[in-house]
Amino acid sequence: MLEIKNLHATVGDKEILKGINLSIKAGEIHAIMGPNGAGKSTLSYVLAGRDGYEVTSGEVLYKGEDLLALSPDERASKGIFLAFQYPVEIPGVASATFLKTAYNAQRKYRGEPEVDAMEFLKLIREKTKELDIKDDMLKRAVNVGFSGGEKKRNEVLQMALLEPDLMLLDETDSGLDIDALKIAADGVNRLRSPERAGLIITHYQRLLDYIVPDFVHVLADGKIVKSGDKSLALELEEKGYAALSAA
Amino acid sequence: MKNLTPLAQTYVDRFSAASGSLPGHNSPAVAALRKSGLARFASLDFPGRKVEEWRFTNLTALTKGIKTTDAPANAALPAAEFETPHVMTFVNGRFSASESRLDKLPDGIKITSLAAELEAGNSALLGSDTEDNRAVVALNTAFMEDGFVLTADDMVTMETPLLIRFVTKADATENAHHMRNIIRLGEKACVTLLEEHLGADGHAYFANPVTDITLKKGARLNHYKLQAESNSAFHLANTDCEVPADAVYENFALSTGARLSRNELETRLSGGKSKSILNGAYLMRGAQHCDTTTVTRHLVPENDSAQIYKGILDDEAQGVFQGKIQIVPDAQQVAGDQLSRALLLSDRASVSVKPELEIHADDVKCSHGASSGELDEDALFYLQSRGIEEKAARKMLIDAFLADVLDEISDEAVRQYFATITARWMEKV
Amino acid sequence: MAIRQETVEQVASVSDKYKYGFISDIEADTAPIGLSEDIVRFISAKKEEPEWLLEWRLKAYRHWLTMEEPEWANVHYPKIDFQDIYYYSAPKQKEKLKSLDEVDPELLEVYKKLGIPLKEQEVLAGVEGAHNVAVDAVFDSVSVATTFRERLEKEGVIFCPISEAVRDHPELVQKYIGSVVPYTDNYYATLNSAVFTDGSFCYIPKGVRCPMELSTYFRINAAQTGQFERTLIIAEEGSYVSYLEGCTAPMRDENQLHAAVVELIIMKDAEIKYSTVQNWYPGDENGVGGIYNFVTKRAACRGENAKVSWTQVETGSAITWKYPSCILQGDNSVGEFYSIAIANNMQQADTGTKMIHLGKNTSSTIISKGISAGKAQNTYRGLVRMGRKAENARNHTVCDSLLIGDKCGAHTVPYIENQSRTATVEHEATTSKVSEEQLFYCQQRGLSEEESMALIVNGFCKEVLQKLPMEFAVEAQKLVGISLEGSVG
Repeated sequence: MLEIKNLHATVGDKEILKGINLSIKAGEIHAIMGPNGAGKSTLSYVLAGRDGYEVTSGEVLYKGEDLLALSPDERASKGIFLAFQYPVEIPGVASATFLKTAYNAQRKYRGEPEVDAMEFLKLIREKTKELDIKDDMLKRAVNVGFSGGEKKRNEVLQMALLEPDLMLLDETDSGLDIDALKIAADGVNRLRSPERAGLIITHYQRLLDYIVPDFVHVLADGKIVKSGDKSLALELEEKGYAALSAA
Repeated sequence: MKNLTPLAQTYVDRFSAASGSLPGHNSPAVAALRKSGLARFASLDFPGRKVEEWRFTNLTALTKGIKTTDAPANAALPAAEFETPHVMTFVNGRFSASESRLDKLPDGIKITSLAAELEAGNSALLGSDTEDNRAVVALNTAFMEDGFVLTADDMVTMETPLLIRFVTKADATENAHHMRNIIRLGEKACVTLLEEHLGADGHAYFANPVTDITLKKGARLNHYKLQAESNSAFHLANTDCEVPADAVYENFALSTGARLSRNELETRLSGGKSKSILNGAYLMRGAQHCDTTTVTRHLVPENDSAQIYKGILDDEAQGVFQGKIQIVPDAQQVAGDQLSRALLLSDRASVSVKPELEIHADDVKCSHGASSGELDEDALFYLQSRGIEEKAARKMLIDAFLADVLDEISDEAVRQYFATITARWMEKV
Repeated sequence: MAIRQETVEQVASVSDKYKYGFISDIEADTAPIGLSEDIVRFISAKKEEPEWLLEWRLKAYRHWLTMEEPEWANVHYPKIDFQDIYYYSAPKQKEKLKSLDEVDPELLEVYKKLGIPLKEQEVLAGVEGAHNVAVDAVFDSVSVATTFRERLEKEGVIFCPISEAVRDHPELVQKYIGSVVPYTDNYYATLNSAVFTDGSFCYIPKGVRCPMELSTYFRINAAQTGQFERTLIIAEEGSYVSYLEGCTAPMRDENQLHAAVVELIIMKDAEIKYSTVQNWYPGDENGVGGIYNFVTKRAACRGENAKVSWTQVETGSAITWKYPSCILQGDNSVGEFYSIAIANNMQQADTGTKMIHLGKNTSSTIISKGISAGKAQNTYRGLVRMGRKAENARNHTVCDSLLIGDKCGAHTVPYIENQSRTATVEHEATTSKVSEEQLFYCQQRGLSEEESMALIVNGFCKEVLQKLPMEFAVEAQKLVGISLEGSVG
């Protein structure tokens, strides 16, 4: 589903990604772990197409297509969803309006009929119920005045609604208490299927207790320095990143 | 050419006679500067109310000519209350060495009188004439007679505040004083300055001080001012300050005096990480009129400005606050905040406010807030219901209203001094 | 409703930057170019006006000659040559209009393109219930059709072109015209008083709640033509009316002048809700062409508990100079001003309000949302004055600016004058920008860059959009998006 080949990227004048190679097949969940400043968030932004993150060499194929040639909204409409580490506040725009607009924009892009307000409401109610999210969150402006936990839940809700093919989770566990963490993990696990894939970026092993990855990679100084199965995460938890860098 | 106001005409008429005796008259540079100031003043005249910047302040009472004084010639003035080893005094517009104590200044701090500097031929410190539409600044340029010149060398810090008193006595022969003050702080120098402007009540005169401040990189000036002129006086002050990179300019003006006063401040933030902090309080009663006008120019990216002005207006007093924050194109990542609040204690008091934002860059955070009205009746009732009598409750609320702006004064001694003065003013409410 | 929806879809489906930019080839009856007493007499004669109105016009004209063009607003434009403007242009008609069948089909085509719900044939065909908005349409200088008059007449509501009101209800017009905006008021209002050609007139009698929304569409079509309409609305004691106004003009390289006057009179316990969507041609990206929109709008709350609410969405015009004001005379009267002003490319907007509190317990609310993009300059200018006798008066003002890009300007110039101890005035202003993070977040969820921008800006304007009548709100939302096209990136 996703093929990253020798990816180099800079932010400003600084090279952050220094040759990433990663292949994710449908049905797989990969976790990327690493110390602060390793380039984890940069990787997620490059995949989602954020301005200012410049790819200097390498390529990324998504479902066989050149991902880097697409605009952020095209990538989203083709099924890439990024759960932000710091979800953005948009004053005055009700969450429900935002979700409906996004949902219909993606449907339109894919040539599917748009849903009307009633239909949408029904759909979103199902999702909030599944994820144990209060309906009043939908009336509030996108992320404005949300607590850290609420923001992350909102990201999971959006993901549940948009049903992406490739889930990118950028430190979704940070700022979550254990109950919220379970709900978030549950949201991801519900979407797990042979057709979908996921890339989970995290600093701690904790989230991986709930979303069990098929592969774990360690990112340090812009490169994947080690790959393995879920036991690698436990090893890291025990010994720390320092031990690994020293090795 | 249109007719000048009577007062402006007397200045124009008097100029050639007077200029021969003004300090620096032997210097061609000073003479040229005065001449250009006069020409500009003559073309501008005192501003009428059609001039946008003066729509709330009417100078007619001044421009038709200052009327004679009611004060007895021997009216006593309060002695200096603020305690500091460094005092410079100007009496009736002239430096008074006998009432000054400047022998304990730290090394690297120099303070002299402008008249002495000009007599010594040091005209360069005046710089060139400002080409703007401020008539009273032009008038000052033409007629400046004295003032202080303060310089601080790089890295010099003066811990204790320097007190500069401008005293107008009822026996003064001249009824106008055009003081020109110059402050130059070197890199990372740090100075605290308190100006007092005092006059005997009943004495009518016109004070027109202009202060020109240049800070070097990383310098800090704490500049405090007490305007307690005679209740028959006119006080029109202009202060310009250039604030380069890493420098901080803090100004606090407490105004209780004058029949009509205007304190005009213009700060130019010309370097990154520079900061302008302008605060003030005005306490007015009777028929006093007090105008505070500020212009803050953010000329480069990354600097901050903050302003808080509070006014209390009793009887028929009038308060004016005009504050403009300007952000030029490309001056990104600038923060400018401004707050103006006024409390009306009487049915005849009034306040006019014009906070203005002029913004030409998008990545900025600017806000202004303005409010005016009476004391919060609910709070008053709450205090009374707890057994506090009305008068005490009112005082408590007025104290609280002023407290947060006084707290902005970073010098402890000045803060306490100003608190004493405001408390004294409030006893008469 | 159905036709409203159609309007909305038409606006939405637009691919051009300015969809109302078409020029219609309609034969016009035009006065000679320029301005003189003769032209004033010509207009008055053309309208078959009574002597008193001609006199009033002439007084205004003579006064105008003594006035100077105001220069205090933060707008810049070459001097207007008032002799190079046609002051009267009317679509040529066979005779007095009896039914819409007689209207120039080209004109009907214009309405269709404008999305005006003016399809009289539907009404005639008996589908009257399909819409509930009465419409007056002013084309260049004259009103060409007013719908639903009979139904309104049943309630005693008068809704007609002001030129007809002069003929049919002279006592009302004479009593109220110039009573809120006197002919000496300001340069453009005085000019308007001399040369106004048409506009709408509404009279809501005592105790009547107007059964439908009244709406006027203004259209400038002819070249080099100034539009000087005059609107007069009187709400008698205990009455209510909601009035909507929409404006469009063709794309032309020249600047055209629009100097309107709107006067509202609100008696005891009455309410007027006045909504405007102003979408005059703004000129092109380089600032060529566009309408100069110099408008005087003022409401007088004459009785106790009178209420007026101005809501405006200003997206068009090369220059906007407009300060809908409220004179709160009656005790407990209420004034509201809700505004969205968008300036893109080279547009200049200087707009705001005046709230003059004279009566006791009067209250006012100002919510202004200014959006600047491109190289545009957007200024909020407002006055809140609490008179000596305005005991316990209240004002709350919120003034927010949004900047898109680093070449535009946002300015806030509020004047606050409080002479009443017991009055409370609160003013807050903020500025913000559309952040790159917000745009990216929306795009990551599948919205295009321009959709993202429209969504964020609509969020910023939400408090004001909510104040518009439902159908107008939807239209306005789309307009907000369209107006900002090209501002991204």
